[in-house]
Amino acid sequence: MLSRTVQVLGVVFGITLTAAPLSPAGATNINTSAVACQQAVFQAVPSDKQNRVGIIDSGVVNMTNVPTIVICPVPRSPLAAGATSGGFWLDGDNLLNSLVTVQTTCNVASYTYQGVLHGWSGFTATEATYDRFVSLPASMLGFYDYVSVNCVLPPYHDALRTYLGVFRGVTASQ
Amino acid sequence: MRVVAHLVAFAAVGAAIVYFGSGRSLPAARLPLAPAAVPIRTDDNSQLSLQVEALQREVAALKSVAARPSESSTSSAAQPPAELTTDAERAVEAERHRVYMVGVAQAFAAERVDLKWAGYASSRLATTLQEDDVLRTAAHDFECRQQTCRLRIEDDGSGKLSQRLTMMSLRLMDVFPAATAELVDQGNGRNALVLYMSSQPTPPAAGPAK
Repeated sequence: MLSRTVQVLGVVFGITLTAAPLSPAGATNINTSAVACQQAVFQAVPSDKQNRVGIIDSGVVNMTNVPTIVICPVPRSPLAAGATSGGFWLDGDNLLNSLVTVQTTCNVASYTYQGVLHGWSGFTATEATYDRFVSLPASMLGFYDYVSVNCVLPPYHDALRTYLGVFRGVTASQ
Repeated sequence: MRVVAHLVAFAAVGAAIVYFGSGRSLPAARLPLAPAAVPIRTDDNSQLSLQVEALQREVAALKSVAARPSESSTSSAAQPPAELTTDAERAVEAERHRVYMVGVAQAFAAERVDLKWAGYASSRLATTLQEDDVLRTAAHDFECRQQTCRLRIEDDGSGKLSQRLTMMSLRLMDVFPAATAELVDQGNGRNALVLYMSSQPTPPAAGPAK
């Protein structure tokens, strides 16, 4: 009886060992600091050409007293076979204060290799520190598609003499 | 003795499962607890027919690309050139997105109309379109229902439209946190971008909804 149990155990271990390499690989995280972000064009106020954003050690900030849009690259790896969606983590800070409401609005947008919009998914964060997850369906994350993050950073506050938000970066988790 | 043997066997199997099941998820801490995009239940027959249709189109796309003559194929028939593979892959991806958008369109068609939400969403969308000089002048129409607005807007091919729509989305994030889009041939020599903008935080992982 014991030898039979050992046989069964052997079979179970054999199946487990054989199946292990076939199981889906763990997701790969690719982190990108927001120091790679740049301000979007066509933001007319106060000026199209003004350098509105500043880079600090932990990310990108808005140095003007109006909300400013930044666009950030999102390096990523191809989706695993059979995946129905891909995910992205966006991180940053809102420097909450008693004088003004502070919020950061971001989206993750994907485009075809020809630059045609596939769609977006996003959020508006009002918390002091945000760590938001957004996902896009697999059909928007093809091998040749491009992904970028767009964020509206809260303005610099003249009276407080500080920027009111830091966008730290994005992690593609696929 | 039998009981002990069975206990040992169960313990060993359990240990194997724990060992091989853990320690492989590299970024476990950053993965969501639950998948953000939950597959939508679909009618079996319609889903099967969609899948069959998708496969047929993918095969057709591959055949059409493979049948296309190229300089490389004439010089080296045995070795498929890299460009051909890329074209084929892109064709398959485009077809996959087209099929996905068919599901999204069907889900939109099946939505009831919530007059209150539709009225509010329409108002916000119209105002935001008017505020942008590129979007304002592009021919467009839209329809809002229960949680989705369908916007059709002509694309002049300059590349400005996608940029402006992405920027527009930031102003409308409180109404439409997610959207899916597709470029369609209008049959009059012009293309239009059709967007399904949703009040739901995540685009559907698959369509159509039942």
